[in-house]
Amino acid sequence: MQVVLETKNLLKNYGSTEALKNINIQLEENRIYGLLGRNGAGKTTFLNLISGSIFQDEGDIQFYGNQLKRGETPKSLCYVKEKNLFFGGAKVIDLLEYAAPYYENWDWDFANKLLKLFELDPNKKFRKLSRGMESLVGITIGLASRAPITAFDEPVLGLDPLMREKFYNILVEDFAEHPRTIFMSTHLIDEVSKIVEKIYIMESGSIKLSDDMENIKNKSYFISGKNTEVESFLQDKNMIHRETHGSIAIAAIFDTLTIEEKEKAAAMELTVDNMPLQKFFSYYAIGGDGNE
Amino acid sequence: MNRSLSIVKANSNILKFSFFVFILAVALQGVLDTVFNMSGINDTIGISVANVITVFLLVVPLILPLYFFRRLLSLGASRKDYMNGIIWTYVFYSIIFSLFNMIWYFFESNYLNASVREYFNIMAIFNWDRSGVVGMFLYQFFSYLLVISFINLLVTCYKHVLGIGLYIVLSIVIPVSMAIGTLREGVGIGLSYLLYNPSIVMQIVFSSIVTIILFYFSWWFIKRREV
Repeated sequence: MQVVLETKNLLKNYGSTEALKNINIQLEENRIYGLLGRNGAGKTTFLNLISGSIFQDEGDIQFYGNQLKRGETPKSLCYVKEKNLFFGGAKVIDLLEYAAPYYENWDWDFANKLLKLFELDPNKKFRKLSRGMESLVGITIGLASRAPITAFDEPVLGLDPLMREKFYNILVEDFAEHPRTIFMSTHLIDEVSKIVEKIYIMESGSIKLSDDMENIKNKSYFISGKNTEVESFLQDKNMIHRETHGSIAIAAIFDTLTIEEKEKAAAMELTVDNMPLQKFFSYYAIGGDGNE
Repeated sequence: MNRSLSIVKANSNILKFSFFVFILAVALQGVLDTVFNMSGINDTIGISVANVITVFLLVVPLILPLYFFRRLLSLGASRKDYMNGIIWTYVFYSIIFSLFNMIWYFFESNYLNASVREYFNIMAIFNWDRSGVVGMFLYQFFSYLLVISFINLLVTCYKHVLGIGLYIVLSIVIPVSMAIGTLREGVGIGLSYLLYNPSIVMQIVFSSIVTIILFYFSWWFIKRREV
């Protein structure tokens, strides 16, 4: 598959603070990616860099093999920020009209359909919208732009679960009809796990993990049982978290378990459960073995 | 919608409220001035209402670089789109205000000055009325654009270290050039070339060159400005 966006050794400092350290990311065409990380991990800084909003101190950003020069805005990217800095006094429909000329594939029929689906009043002023509604205006622009690469920074912020579900469904349906590359930063890994194919986890300005979602699902387990048995079983496993309650231990691992190993665990009276992805994310992002 | 047209439209939307407040202030001042004049409290020569309203042109390059840049780029525009868009906005407003001033000037000189009160008008002060109707328009248009490009540069550069340097240089150069007689004379000559040149062609050429240079410097700062 063609690489649509590639960053090489991207570095960004704010004064003495290293916001990003040697970020190398490759996005391929027509795939959906997730970017996860705690607050302050560097997700927004990274998205601001690839959108040309801010400038890197070192490293390269390439779109379709062409280097993004300082001061340029990538034509193939639509970037929907977490905090939309739109014109407060403008109506929703005005904002769409202002945005439309910047995207070659802008679809007005789809934009109008989205306004209805999201129950957005096109004549309402942006400053009078709730936080969730503001997010929906950004989402509408992002989806209707049909840009070859669409980056969403925390797109579902302020949305209730029903509206979040609606957004994910619309995204998947539209992606099926109009495949493109979607790059989405979020905290809600469980919610996006059904639509995201690959994730990057950022921590303290670095990429801590990049893997396919399926691999992560297949390598995230809880092992529980007697403390000594758990310790013995996990000797050569990548443990990301452990809790002890008296003589009972619960460990979270991010590693492959073969059928034999699962049988061995059963023989040792250990329970093996799949780990919810949100748990995996919080243990993995926190880092270390997380012993408590 | 074309990109630049969309930017002019967005800008007009933003400026609508400021213009409304401005017009309200001018109207209030006008009413008070007329009342004082009719009651004999203030019988001096008045300032043309159209000229006062045209001061709004100086507000436009103050508002747009500060308010518009980040918001427009958030919608997907590039820095180049922004720059083209605001230049078209400035051109649009310079045309509107030039035409407005001309129409008002005819009304003022043919009716108001004779029957109501005498008014100072920039058109007469700078002799912009010496080359007919087209000349009146061109003198104004290029002068307004020149002043706007200068203010736009000053507002655009404020986040860059060289911009701060420019402020320091100007804050030294302006008072010094006003204080020393020979320098003051030089400034006067320079301004006469740019703003009230007897030759309209020379004025258009000189002011266009300076305007282009000033917009180029603004572009230099815009390319380096982060969102």
